[in-house]
Amino acid sequence: MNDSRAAGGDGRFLGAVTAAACHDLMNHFATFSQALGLMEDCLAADARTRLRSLGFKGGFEHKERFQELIAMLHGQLERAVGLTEALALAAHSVDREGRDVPPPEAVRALLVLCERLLKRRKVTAVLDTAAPAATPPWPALRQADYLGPVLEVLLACLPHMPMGGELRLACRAGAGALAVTIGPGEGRFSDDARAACLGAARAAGVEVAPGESLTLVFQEQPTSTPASCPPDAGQAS
Amino acid sequence: MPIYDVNILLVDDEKEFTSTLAERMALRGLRVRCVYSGEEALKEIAAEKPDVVVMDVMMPGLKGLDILRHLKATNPEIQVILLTGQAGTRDGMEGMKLGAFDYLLKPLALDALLAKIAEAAAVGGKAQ
Repeated sequence: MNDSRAAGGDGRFLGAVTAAACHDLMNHFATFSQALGLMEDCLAADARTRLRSLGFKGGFEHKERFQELIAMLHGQLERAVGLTEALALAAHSVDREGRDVPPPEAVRALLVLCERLLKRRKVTAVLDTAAPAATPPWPALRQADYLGPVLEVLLACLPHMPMGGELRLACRAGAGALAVTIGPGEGRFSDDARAACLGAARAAGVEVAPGESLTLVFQEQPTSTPASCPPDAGQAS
Repeated sequence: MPIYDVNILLVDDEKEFTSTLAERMALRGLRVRCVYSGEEALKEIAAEKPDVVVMDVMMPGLKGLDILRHLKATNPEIQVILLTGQAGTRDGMEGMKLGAFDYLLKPLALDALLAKIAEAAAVGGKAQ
C-alpha cells in the first residue's frame, strides 16, 4: 500500500497543523454562534420592551429581515461546523492511530469533505449504514491507510459519473481486513468509470476484490505504528 | 431553589465567546461571572465560591483538568462542566473520571448548557 505520503513527515506535519487550525475554527464558530444568539436575544428584548412600554406594534422596523439573516447565518455556521469536524477527524488520521474511529465514520467524514468536488457533477455520495448482523471488530488500520486510496478512487471515478448520479459506499470488516465497496446508486459502473477506479486503486497499491462490485480491500498491518506526535497536538478544546 | 440562584462561573480564554455567553445568561437573569484564565479562576473561586463552574479544557497556563483536580481536592461540592472541542472528547472523558459533572462540545447551544447547569446544581443541592 502506498501510504508514504500520508504516513510521512509531511503528512504528520499537515495533520497536526490542520487539527490545530480546526481547533481554532471551532472556537471562532462557538463565538459566532453565541453572538448570533445574543442578536436574537436583543431583537426579542427590543420587541418586548417596546410593546410593554410604548405600545408600538412592531418594535424594530427590520426585525423580520434580521431574523431571516440570523437564521441563514445559523445554517451556514452549521455547515462550517460539519466541515471542520470532518476535517479535524481526517487530519488526525495522519498524526494519530485511527483505531478508535470506526471506518464508516472516517469514510463519512471524507465524503463531507468531498461534497464540493461531488457537487461539480451534481453527484451525491451515500454511505450505506445498514449494520450487518454480526460485525467483527474493525481491523487495526490507520485512517490514512484507507482514506487516501478511497479518495483517489473517488476522484478518478468522478469525471466518468453521469451528471446528477449517485455513488454508494459501504464498509465491512472481516478476517483482519477492511473492505470498502464503491458503486453507482443503480446498476453498475460504466466501463470507463470502472477502468478509472481500477487504475486509481492499482496506482495506490490497493487490492481489489474480484467480482462485479468494486471492493477495495485493506489488510490489517500489525506492524503499523502510530506516528509520534504530542498527545494533545491539535486537539480542540 | 431555582436556577436563577445558582452561582455560575465561566472560565475560558476565548474572551469574546465567554463574555457573549455571560451576557446571554445575564439577560436571562442568571448569576454569572466570567474569567479568562485558570489562574484568574482560582482567585475568583477563592473570593466567592460558585455552585457550578463551566470551564474550557484547553487554556494557556493552568489547564481545565488541572483546575478540576484542584477543585475536587479542595471544594468537591462545586460542580464542574467542561467545554471541549470535537477532537477533545478524550479530555472530556478524562475529566469525567476526575469528577467533572459532564462535558459539552463546542460550539454549544445555550439551552443545552443551561439544562446541564441546572442538572449540575441539582446534584450539588442548589437548583430545582
